[in-house]
Amino acid sequence: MSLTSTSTSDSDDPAIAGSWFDARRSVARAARLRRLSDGTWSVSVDDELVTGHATEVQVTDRLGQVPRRLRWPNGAEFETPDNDGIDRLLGRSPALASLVDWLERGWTTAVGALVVLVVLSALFLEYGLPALSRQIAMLVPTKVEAGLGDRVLDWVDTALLDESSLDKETQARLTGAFEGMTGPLADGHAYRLLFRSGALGPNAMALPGGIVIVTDDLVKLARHDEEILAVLAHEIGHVRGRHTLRHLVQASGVSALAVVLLGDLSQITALATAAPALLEMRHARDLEREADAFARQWLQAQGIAVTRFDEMLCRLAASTGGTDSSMPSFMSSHPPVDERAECRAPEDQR
Amino acid sequence: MEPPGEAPPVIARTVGFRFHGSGGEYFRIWIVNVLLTVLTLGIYSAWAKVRRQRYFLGNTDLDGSRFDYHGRPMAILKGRVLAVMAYIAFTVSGNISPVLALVMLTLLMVALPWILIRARMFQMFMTSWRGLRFGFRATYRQAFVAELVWPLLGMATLGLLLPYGIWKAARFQASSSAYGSQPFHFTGGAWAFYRALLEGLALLALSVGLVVVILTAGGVSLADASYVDTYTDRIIAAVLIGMATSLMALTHIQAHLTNALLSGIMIGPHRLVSSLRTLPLLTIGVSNLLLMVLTLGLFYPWARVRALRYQLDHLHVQAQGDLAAFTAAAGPTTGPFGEAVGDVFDLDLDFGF
Repeated sequence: MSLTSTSTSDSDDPAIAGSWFDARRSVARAARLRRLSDGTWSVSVDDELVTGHATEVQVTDRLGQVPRRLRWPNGAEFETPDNDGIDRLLGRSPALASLVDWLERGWTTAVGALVVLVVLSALFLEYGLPALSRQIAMLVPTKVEAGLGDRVLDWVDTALLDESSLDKETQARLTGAFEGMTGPLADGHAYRLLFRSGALGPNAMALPGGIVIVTDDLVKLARHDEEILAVLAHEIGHVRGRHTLRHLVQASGVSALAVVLLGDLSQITALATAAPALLEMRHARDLEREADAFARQWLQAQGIAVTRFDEMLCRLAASTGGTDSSMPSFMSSHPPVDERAECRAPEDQR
Repeated sequence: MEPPGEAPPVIARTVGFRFHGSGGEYFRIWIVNVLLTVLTLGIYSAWAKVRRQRYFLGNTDLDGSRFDYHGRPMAILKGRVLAVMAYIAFTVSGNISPVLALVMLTLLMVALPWILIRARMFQMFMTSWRGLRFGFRATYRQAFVAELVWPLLGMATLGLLLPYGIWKAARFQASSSAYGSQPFHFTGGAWAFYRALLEGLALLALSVGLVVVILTAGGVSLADASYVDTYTDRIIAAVLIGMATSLMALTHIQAHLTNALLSGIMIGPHRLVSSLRTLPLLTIGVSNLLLMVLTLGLFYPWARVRALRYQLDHLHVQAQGDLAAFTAAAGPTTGPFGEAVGDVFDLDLDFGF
């Protein structure tokens, strides 16, 4: 079904060679396309002449070397590989179509598009997403957040933690201090302090909605109640800043960006999930720094020595195997301890 | 090519598919698609989909004529907005109450066969060759049995009926399809499907056997406390060889299932024949993967074109005479109604390019 012979033999004929499909049978017929002075499209097929008004015949947008098509309302089509010829007959294309075609046609614009994409993504990850996640987190009602926290607590209790074995007196003393801390905040969160023991070692965590969990090991590791209060202040900082929600929103934002940029690359899903995870760790460290800042501020306001917080952080780091140097900092969810606190040499700590 | 004048004699001939696109050309289209989608916060993705589909179908050639895609961006955008809203409703309801989530899940399961039919209708009807549209027509019951009952039976019988179920689904998909007024027929048997999966399983067993031999050769015991330190090189070798051979098993299944599925299809007197082979497919797959990782995904357009070109180079039509005798379908599938119904149900959520 070669049609090139007709188009090259008589070059003075402005007609475009192509194929005609009548939408009734699967037959390609050699055809020639002309445009009349009033803009009407005219196709000569064998001895027939088919015409179509410019407003009813739809011309497909140019796309690479894909053959161009003119579609008649009844489904009949004229097809030609002569993209330049069609552009000549069209005169000018719609603005959007010609912009897209201009962008796609050359390598300069393609590389430009790539550079713009990289810059935009970097800006979005660095500034846009953290700000956006803060806005979204603040929109979530505290009740919904508390419901989420209750469910996390259920899961943590069944999967990770056991009952506390601390004596009642210590628990009551710390709970009292905690209520003294959270009472004046009046920020809509229902703060609760819970004591647990288990596999986490000396640790404390904040769940969405206001639940703060402290492990027995942490209480035992502390040499002064003020050290525990410093840790509690850090956790309250997480709750107040709605860090769990922000973390969730940021994580899904990064994944969404990865999907948009990389598309359905099912083959490299491993890569596509690892990269966001690493980026997410950076955000997590920023949230930790924010909670640290809150803790220091609170200690200062209470007239408690800020060094209590540093001492506790250093002791925690020492108890969990020195400074976190075993793991490269970009893979950690917390900033390295020597950035968070000034630790004295280990022998001083005894 | 066509003898003019008198009716052509019926001669059996092989008509191949050809792909005319190139990776470099598609890269430029792809990167612009991604950029405009990001700049318009996702809205352009519908236009991007049309360009992508037009690029791949419009560069696919059978017997000297190209395929074509007719989907309209606005309609696709509507379908996507609908799907995203349904997804949000689904996720939110799951967080509000488990009962509501269960109700939604049940509703989705009930609607699924219907949604699948509509989506397939859209996909097929938006594709044409030589000016005639493809079509798809099935009843809810057929889709329910083929797409829900058989997969469940396959699972319930621990995979014994799985190849049979895949065969049933393939037969359903094919025999519900049509080109113009000519319905497809599915003549392939279930045996080819069993064979593909059994051969894949045998390769997997071989893979496991190899790993065990590598790890324990020379009477080494895995229970040995110092095993990991002493035989690190063995572990590395076992992991690499295990990955390579199991990937080969999966590719084997993929290649031969595709062959069984496509080669069973008859369109009038003409038969489709797919002849994918495991090793070339594996080579393309692995090299594509490596190059994409090395280029942080930028190789994707070339990878896609390479994979498609291999697939089309190994697909042909065993034709009886020429392919000119097909006629357009009558009835609502070609009318505006069919199009409008299909449009909203273009529910495939691939935001890929």
